[in-house]
Amino acid sequence: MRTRTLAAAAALALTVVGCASSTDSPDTNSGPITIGLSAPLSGPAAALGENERNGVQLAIDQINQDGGLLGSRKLTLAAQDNACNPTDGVGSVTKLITQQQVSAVIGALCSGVTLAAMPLAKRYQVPLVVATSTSPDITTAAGKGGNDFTFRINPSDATLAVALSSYLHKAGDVRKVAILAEDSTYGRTGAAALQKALNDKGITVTGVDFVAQGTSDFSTQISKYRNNGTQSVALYISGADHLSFLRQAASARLQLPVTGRVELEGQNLEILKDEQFAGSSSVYPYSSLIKTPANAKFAKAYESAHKTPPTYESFEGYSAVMVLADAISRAKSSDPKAIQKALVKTDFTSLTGGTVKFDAYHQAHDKAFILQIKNGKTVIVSDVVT
Amino acid sequence: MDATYTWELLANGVVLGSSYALLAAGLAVIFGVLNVVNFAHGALYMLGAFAAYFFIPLTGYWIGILLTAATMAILGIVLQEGLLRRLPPDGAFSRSMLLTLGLAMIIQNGAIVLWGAGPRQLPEDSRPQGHLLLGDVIIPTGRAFIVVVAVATLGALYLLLNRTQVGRAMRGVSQNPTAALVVGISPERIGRLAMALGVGLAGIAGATLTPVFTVSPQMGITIVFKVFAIVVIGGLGSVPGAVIVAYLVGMLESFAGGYGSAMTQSISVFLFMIAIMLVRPQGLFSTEVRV
Repeated sequence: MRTRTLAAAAALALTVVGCASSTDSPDTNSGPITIGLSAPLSGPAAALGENERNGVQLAIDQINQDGGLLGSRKLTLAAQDNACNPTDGVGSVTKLITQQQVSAVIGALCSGVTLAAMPLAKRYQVPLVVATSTSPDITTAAGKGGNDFTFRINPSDATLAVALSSYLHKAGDVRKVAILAEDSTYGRTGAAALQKALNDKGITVTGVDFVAQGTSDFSTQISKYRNNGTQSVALYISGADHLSFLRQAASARLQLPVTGRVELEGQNLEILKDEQFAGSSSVYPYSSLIKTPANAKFAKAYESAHKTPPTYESFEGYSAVMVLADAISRAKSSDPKAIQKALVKTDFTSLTGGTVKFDAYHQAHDKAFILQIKNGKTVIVSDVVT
Repeated sequence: MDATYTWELLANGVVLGSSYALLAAGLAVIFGVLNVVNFAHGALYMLGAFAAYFFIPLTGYWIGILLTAATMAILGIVLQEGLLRRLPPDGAFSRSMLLTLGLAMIIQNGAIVLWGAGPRQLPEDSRPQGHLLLGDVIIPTGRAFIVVVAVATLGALYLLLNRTQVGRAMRGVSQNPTAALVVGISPERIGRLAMALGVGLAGIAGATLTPVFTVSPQMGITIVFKVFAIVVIGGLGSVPGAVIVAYLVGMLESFAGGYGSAMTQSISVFLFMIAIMLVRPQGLFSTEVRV
């Protein structure tokens, strides 16, 4: 009986110790500082997640090569796959915080996953730096909106849509736009923001189509645009779908400029430089063409590591680590709560030449760019502070 | 919107139906003969697309498609011999579902590790060039080839199943495996052939789409659910049923999307499936002889 009691007491003690250690905050005085990343590394948005992870890893490597932070503490990356799925996203962020004991989380790329992960940042009091999700709902819920531990460094789709519709209105060539968006939080909130901004400028929206992520055939939509008077198609689709649409539009000889959130670089540019897409434009928070010394250095380092120019996701992943490193240095601690306090006071010069400074809703107002294809090349038409 | 638009939607529907038909026929053959619901079909279709992505630039379009079909057929035999045949007969049906589901995940994530998650496209000079002009309807050559390959492949499959000794043996095994064994038909041999055919067809589907779409490890995720719906509507395991319904669904999607929205297009196939399940639960073309 006595032995049993002792065993039970020991088991209870172990459980209590186990519970305590699982919620302990990370060691804030010594050892490596772990940065968490929740991104889609499988599923339809895996390519974007891979780009973001490459940017994050590059920043971490550069900081470590320069001697690390807080004396000589190295940064390490803990990356978890969220498959662009809110359920997996919540699991990935919980694991990063409770098991891998990260000092901060970067994530979660897909807007729907970020919105699902935000309450965890608040509950566990660990900063969540949103770097690529563009849904306007994230801004309204962060900072003054109630979630003090969420910070967004990239612009919201609401501001990007206003900038793009002002440009299209001023350019004056397009008066009827169709919107093709993916059926996700990103696609739906982005399309709604653009539809409102276009309507405000008197530009007609001929239709909004939401396609499932991973859709392979766009022939129906292409036929529709060819026949219903659409003068330009605004795209809010990502990853492989984006390229797939452009490929099919090119071979079907669809003679329309595309606009919206289109990355006018890499494989996309190879297609879009054709005369049939003349006048294509885009609003984007990043372009590898940005002429700042800091961006040139970043683009060169990225290209040498990955044999391809950096993308928006790589840039934002890189920037998120740099913003966090700046906050950790100012906080003089890797304690999540101290980092949160330092993040509030961030005043960081971005690779774009803009500034990352959080407003009351913890939304930064970095620059965004209106890009256009001219004579087969992408050019930056203008930049806007978002 | 005029008559040209209607013809264009019709042409799109035929192309879409052709790719669904190749995939659905493969799935139906595997289910019909082996009683295996192959959840790895989408992943195998993706592997076929990658095989074609590597073969076509080296050998040209037509030989690339043939090589892909042969490679994937061999893979089918390996999967049958290495995995499916080794399942204990007790509960083989449910075990095979779990096995193919796991296989799908391994293939898909393995592809991400091997080739990265980003989309790839065939080099410009390896793709079928130009387009056909039928009246005012533009059909890119690569899309027209999908129809040609589908009609030729499915025609050959029909002849194989109905006019050859081995085809009759397959149908015999599907109807009554024990009786087939009694009359001297080897279930192992027929099983190998069914997997070779089914996986080969998935490979051909992937290969024909490679010049038209982009190739990425995720490309089989969405389409496989639609193809399952097609096989269910056609009558589980009925190859002619799966092919006919594939073309019906291609048309349905094209017109639902063309005259409605992309959401109407997405849900039309599943609404169609629910309606058929209510009226004819066994599927439209279900018969005793499945293949």
